[in-house]
Amino acid sequence: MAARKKVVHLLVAVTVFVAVDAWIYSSLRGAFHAIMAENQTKDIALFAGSAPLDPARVGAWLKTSGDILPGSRAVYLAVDATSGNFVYAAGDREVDALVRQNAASEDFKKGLDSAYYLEPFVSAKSYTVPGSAASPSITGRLHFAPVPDDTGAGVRGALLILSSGSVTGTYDELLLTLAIVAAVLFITIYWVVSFSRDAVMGFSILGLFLIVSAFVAYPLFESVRLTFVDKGGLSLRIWKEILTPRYLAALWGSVRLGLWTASFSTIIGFLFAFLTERTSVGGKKFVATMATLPVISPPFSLTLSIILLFGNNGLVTRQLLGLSNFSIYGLGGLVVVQTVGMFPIAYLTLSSVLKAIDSTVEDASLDLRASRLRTFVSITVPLAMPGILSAWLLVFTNSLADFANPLLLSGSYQVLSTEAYMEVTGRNNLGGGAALSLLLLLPTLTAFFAQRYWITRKSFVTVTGKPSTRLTELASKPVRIALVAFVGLSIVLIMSLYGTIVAGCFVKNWGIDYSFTLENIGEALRQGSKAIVDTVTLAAIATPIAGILAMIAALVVVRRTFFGKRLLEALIMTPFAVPGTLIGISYILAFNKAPLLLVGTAAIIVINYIVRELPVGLETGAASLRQIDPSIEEAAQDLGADMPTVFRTIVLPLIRPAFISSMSYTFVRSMTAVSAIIFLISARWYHLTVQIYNFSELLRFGLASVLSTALIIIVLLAFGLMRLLVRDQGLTEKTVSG
Amino acid sequence: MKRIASLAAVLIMAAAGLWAQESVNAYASCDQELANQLFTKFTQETGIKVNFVRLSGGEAISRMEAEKENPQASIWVGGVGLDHITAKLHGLTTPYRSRMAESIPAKFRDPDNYWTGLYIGPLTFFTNNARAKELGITPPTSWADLLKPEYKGRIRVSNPTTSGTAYTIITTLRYIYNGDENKVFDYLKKLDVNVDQYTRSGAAYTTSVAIGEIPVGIGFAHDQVKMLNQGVDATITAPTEGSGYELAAMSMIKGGKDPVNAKKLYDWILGKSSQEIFASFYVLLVSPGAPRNPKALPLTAVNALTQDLQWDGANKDRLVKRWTEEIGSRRK
Repeated sequence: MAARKKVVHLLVAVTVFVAVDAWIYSSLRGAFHAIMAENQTKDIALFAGSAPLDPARVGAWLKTSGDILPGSRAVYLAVDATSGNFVYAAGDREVDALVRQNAASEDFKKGLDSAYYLEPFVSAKSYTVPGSAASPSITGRLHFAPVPDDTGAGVRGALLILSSGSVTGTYDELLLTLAIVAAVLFITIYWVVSFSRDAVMGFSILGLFLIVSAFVAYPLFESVRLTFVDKGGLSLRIWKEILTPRYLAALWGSVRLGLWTASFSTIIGFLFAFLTERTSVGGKKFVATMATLPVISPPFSLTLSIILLFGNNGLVTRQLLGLSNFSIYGLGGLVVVQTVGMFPIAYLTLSSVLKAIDSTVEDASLDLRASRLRTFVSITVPLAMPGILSAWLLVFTNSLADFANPLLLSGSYQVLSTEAYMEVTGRNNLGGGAALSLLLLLPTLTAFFAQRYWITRKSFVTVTGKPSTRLTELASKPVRIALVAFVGLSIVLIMSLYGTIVAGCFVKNWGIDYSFTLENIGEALRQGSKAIVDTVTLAAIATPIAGILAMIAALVVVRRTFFGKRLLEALIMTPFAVPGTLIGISYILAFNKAPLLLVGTAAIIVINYIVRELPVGLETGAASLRQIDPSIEEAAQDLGADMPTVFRTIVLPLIRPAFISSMSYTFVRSMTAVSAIIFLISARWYHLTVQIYNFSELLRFGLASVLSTALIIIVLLAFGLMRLLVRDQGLTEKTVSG
Repeated sequence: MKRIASLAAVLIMAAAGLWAQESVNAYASCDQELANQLFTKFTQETGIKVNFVRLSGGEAISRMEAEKENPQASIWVGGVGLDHITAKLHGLTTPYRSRMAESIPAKFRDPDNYWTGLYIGPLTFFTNNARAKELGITPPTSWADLLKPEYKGRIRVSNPTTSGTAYTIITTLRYIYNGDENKVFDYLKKLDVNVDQYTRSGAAYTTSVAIGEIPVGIGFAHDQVKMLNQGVDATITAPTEGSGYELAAMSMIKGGKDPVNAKKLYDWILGKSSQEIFASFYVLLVSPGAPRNPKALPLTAVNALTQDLQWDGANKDRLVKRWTEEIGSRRK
């Protein structure tokens, strides 16, 4: 049984390897042929350019084509002055017959079309011309070369040369041999390895290492390297330029914004969490939904709502309150927008912490006659402190990396992420942009490490084994009323922001004409349909790959010990702490050249999604794996199951919630990504958020609203679909051993 | 299972269908809607699909520069002609002498055929009437007016780092100050005090002015005329000292794929089919005999300056760097 499985695996591995091998072979061969063909095309173009003006001499000139391409056969077609068509003028009759015969084919149409537009063309198919008295039979591709007229703008005729491509024959043979040798070697090695124990695990580890070194370490290294290079030599010029007061002012701007946002978000997140976890107020579910809603909101849309409600001529500030000298642009507005967008992070962290606090400690304090306030200050807050700090640092990191909000709302306030973007997109100063985003790494990495290695270790949450079933109401009635009032007001703000987005879909021209219309929807979908299709396609490809990869990584990290495990973990986690701007810049640096020429393809965007969301998937997966007793897996293994079987039938069903949540997370983040993606989009692959940004900057609010709403709907639909696809097999609750 | 298989088959066939379609990748620096309408009509008429990204002029140049070894687009449509000159000087574009360009006056074409001018548009000021009345300000009528303290924080303009529109403002001022760059930057520093925000794209201010988010904006007349015709209550004024104008242009990108399709698009844009669309965006086409929207602001309505486009294009890097160093990065 096991042996048969191994044969299947072997076949799969061989197929994959042979496919990759064939791909490498064909690209190398293709590249070599392209170079040869390019040279040939150049030669032919030169030859075509030397065509004599006198029609009588064309025949003699054409005969010399053999000097350029030995053994070739050529025909010259001149442009007919009256019809504008190419007609036979001189040269090989057999070739001309071939042209007439195939004139209607796609290949020939395109060839003559190209000649008309003064572009060289080589036929896609090979053609054979029978031998004649003068020359032997020949098979090969047909080159179409335009012959320009004396002005250089028009076309006088076309030179069609048929040549056999035998020059490249030996090279092809050599390449093919090498490819076959590689395939044979691989099969042998794999054969040997697959009969040793747990080889799949080894390959998983190897694969993960390959992925992170190619797509995390390598691009980041390229970024760092570029900042120390000037005109080919080692230099500190870029850093000297960056470490000047004006850029340091932007760094301080980022940090200051981070401090405010993190503090406000943590306070608000705490109040929300306290309300939902520690009070007996009704409607908690609603509050929790409201507090997590901003997580799935597209970037730019909240900013836009804020401008339209609270801007210089905003609906609230201007029309309702009549303020005329109030400005939302700058630090104040940024703090508000970021807090609305990021307090959910604090809320999610703090609600789980507050839930875990053992209420019996507080009961003891109350029994000892401490007041509620004193109990709160000296028991609850200290117990929640690690969570509070952790939430603060998470928001701080996010605020610093944020890019979408400052782009629209910073006014004259400077932050590093947008400065780096300007450096790259406006001035093509990739080195400067990379250096600026590396500067940003300083505070974010500090916060990340502080959060991860210092605070989370100092957990005060005690697990007593006897879970307390009721939570003591700490808040007195007036406190509760104040709390509800505050949370209520916040929810009104959040809802008004979202309401503005939805309302914006149906308003003719916000700020000028508030009449009802459906025109925006048609217009936005017409202009944005490509972006929607592209974005959904890319996110849909990335989501399952990221989900499965994350679970494999979690399994490897939690269950195995191997050399270099900490390094692997660190590399997988890196993209979490690195601002998107830096990742985006690193990617265009690293993947715009061989061997990984990915810029402009869908692959670069998909890989970027996967790599960026892998850390969170790994964390969730690892957390839930740690709760599962490894003995279940061991039992399966003892019964003869190999690693993939264990993964598929034991691990995956058990950590299904983590699997789904990691996939949902990847999908949302891929749909709402902007900071790295804005560097990676191309004419072929566009992103919805960039389209929303374009509309937002032009304040085309109706169109931006429709696309934002569409994005939210797509995300919600995808959530439902994912739950359906990864069906619950009812294993989770029953088999987890306590 | 069967259903999934047939679904997959359909998807693959659909994908193959898309694959087989002729297409061309383009960068567009004109109004996104204009680009969209042009390319849609081109696809309808020729069956060639156009994938495009809207980028501001400076962004388009940066992108082409970054993609030099591996160009991702073949044609660059629209955007201030100065940017096309800069791109030519950076070796990013390639000459193409279109048959359709012959009739365009020589002063609106590159002598080496690297770019062809499409339309012109003068720089004008755009003021929201209702907001101006409330704030007690009058629409500015000269460059000098813009420096008045009453406009403090009330002007929005684009960022020369990304936008060709903003660079045209700098070159315009240089002509007004007879080439004295120090005076130009003196002016720009004083103007900076009155500017509330520099935007990425040259036309971003128009809607802001239209909805009263900001009272005054500076940019090209056709974007403003378009707003007026959508029912916006605003005033267009031309500076008395003189207006520079843009010559929006088009270039072929060096080494781009599908050059034949790109050239077909190039010719098509210069042809008759596109002209109605251009006219509906109130621009002044340079092609003789092209339709002109009666509502478009003619060049005679402003004090149009004589510009040396070649000089302006050649000095862009230097002047924008100076702007970034002395103004852009010093804002607080």
